[in-house]
Amino acid sequence: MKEQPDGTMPRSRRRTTRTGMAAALLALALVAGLAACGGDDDDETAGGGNATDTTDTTAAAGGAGGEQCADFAAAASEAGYDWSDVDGLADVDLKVGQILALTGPQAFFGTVMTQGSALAADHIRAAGGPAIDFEQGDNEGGLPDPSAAAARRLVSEEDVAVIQSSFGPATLAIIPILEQTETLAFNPAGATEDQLSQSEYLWMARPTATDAFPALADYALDTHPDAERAAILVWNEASALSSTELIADRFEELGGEVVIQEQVEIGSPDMSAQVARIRAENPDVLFLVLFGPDYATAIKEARDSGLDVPIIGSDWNTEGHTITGDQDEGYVYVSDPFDPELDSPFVQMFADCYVEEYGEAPEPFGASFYENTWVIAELAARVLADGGDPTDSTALLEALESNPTAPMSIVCTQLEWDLETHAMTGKPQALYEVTDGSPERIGLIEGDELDLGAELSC
Amino acid sequence: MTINWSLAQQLAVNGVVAGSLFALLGLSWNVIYATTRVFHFAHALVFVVAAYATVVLVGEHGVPLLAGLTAGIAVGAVAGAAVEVLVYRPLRRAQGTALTLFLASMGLFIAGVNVVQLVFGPRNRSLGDVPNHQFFVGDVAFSALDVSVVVVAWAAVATVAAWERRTRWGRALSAVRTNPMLASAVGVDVPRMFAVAFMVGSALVAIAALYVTATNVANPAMGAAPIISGLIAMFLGGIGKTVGVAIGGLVLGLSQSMGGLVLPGQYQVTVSFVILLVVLLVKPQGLFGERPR
Repeated sequence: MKEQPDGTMPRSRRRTTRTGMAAALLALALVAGLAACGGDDDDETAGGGNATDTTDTTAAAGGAGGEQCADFAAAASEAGYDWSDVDGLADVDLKVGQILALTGPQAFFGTVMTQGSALAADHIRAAGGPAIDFEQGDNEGGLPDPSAAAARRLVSEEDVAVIQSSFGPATLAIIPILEQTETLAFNPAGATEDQLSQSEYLWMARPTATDAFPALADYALDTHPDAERAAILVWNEASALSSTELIADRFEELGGEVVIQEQVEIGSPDMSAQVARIRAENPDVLFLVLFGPDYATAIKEARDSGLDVPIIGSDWNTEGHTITGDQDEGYVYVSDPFDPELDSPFVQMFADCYVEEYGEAPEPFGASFYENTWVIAELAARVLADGGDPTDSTALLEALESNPTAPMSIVCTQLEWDLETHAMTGKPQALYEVTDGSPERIGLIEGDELDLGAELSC
Repeated sequence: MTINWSLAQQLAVNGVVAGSLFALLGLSWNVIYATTRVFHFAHALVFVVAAYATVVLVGEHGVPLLAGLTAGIAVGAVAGAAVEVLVYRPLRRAQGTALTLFLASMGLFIAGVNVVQLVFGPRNRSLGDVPNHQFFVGDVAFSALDVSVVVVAWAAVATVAAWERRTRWGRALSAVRTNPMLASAVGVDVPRMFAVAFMVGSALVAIAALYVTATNVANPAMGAAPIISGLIAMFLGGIGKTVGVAIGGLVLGLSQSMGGLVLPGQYQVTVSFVILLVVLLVKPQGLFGERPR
């Protein structure tokens, strides 16, 4: 009986193609082999870090071979996170929701944020703090709809006491849910002006990124006084677009002209059209308001196109450096400050243990999530010390409102919040220049004031 | 309107490069769809698999670049054939409809991409240092990889067109495209031709994936956008018309890029769909497709 013309076989006679089956088996074997060779540990951390279940305050949290990478209790105490007189804190189980970019081209952020917070949870536990369990939701690279869906699930099904969010529009999208469920949320990732004063439940956990942007224009003209024409390449995203106004306004205030502004979609692998249009305008300086690997794509395409002007931007990371190679030499960017050499056991605990746990240097977003997780633990301790329920979101919020400070940031400053806007204050931003593939801090930015050569200290 | 000729030249070169990539993607779609009539959205998964195979071999295990690229193409070809043999063929045998196969391909794409992410993690992966000399001709800049994709894409078009006309298997494939029942009646092994179509189309999409990876990075979400561009190229050129589809890709690339003369760069994708809409309204069978008699 012959097979049918459209390729189907009569049911009474099924014939498999030996060659096809062999090809299929070979494909499966190849995929399995590549998976064995190339699979990495990211999936072990992407699911969030569950705190080690131990009350031993000197237990090794992280560290290959079981060696302790820090004296957790001592470091925490030195930083002001001293809970020795809070009875029962070690018995508290605190659920923290995280809405991160777990998939998509921005998943790099989700990974480093997960790593930072997971490490903090381990250290907090080892220092006698509560057991923190993370439940994660995916905002798919900062999309509002998935973010809102994740928030709904985290609050209604997972019953989280507090949420750590990321990306401006994705965070704004969860405000109705926060207000409906009276859930406290922090954004330790992308603090922008449009998120301030939006809700009593939403608090920034990073300096307002946009505050520093005018300083980028200052830097451009301080170091390149002949620069008159600026180009801006920016994410087609509300927070980023509003940020460019700050750069553009300051640049024009100082006598320059923004000759072109081009937008790119988040995660775009091809910016050739935008770069061509920018190059045609002959700018003297190029500003980037791009994050994740996108800033690297922009630098690479700009340099490949022959655009040999100073590039000043809003992000840098090791992943982006694999895209640019040496083309990011001299690139200047603003970011959260971090210095693993700071003379503080708390800072060194984070820096040393992060390297030991994850085999890579900490990123600023990992540091801010690490820091914020300590803040959450501190709030739980305050609530418990006052006789309240440390897993109750309202109680945590009241603890923050009654004392909008936290003992120490990852750069040795005291953390403070503005009670009206919920902006984080008391922590500067930093200006870095990429030299030989590594960022070197060249100054600090307090508010919008640039101080070239300023140093961090503990 | 004053035309910035410097910009126009650069955009034209960008358009030829992008158009060549779209030609390759469209060709990969055409070989599969025109032959099997399967809306193989899992083509985007094959794109990702080929990219990751190369990245793992070259970027992480130090396999020489050329060997790694060849392996990536081979993995892509085998993966595509495997999808046909393991997924679509059993569905056809079970009297699955075109919609059934499409839904299966969507499911395979979504599941497959998530498996890739689970296995390899969500972070971008790089091929490492790929030699890519930059050329400057007047105000126009382009790279060695750009030249490569143009040369390889049009060589592939010529090779596939010649193969379809002059080889036994190519003619058999064309026969199946034209009339599978009649082809079967004269002894063509239609299921085998389907597998061949998937193998060839997947090899072509793997080449495209390698260019994208070499010029940027690989990540699990990298497949959908290029595949959609290839699909548009196929419809633009005319399903079943090998050279027509390639020209459709070139038209798509050039028009997207030249749109940058008057529109900001983020509207490129909009331009693609507007062009597709206009062409389909005026000539639904595509620029080089034949009107039904």
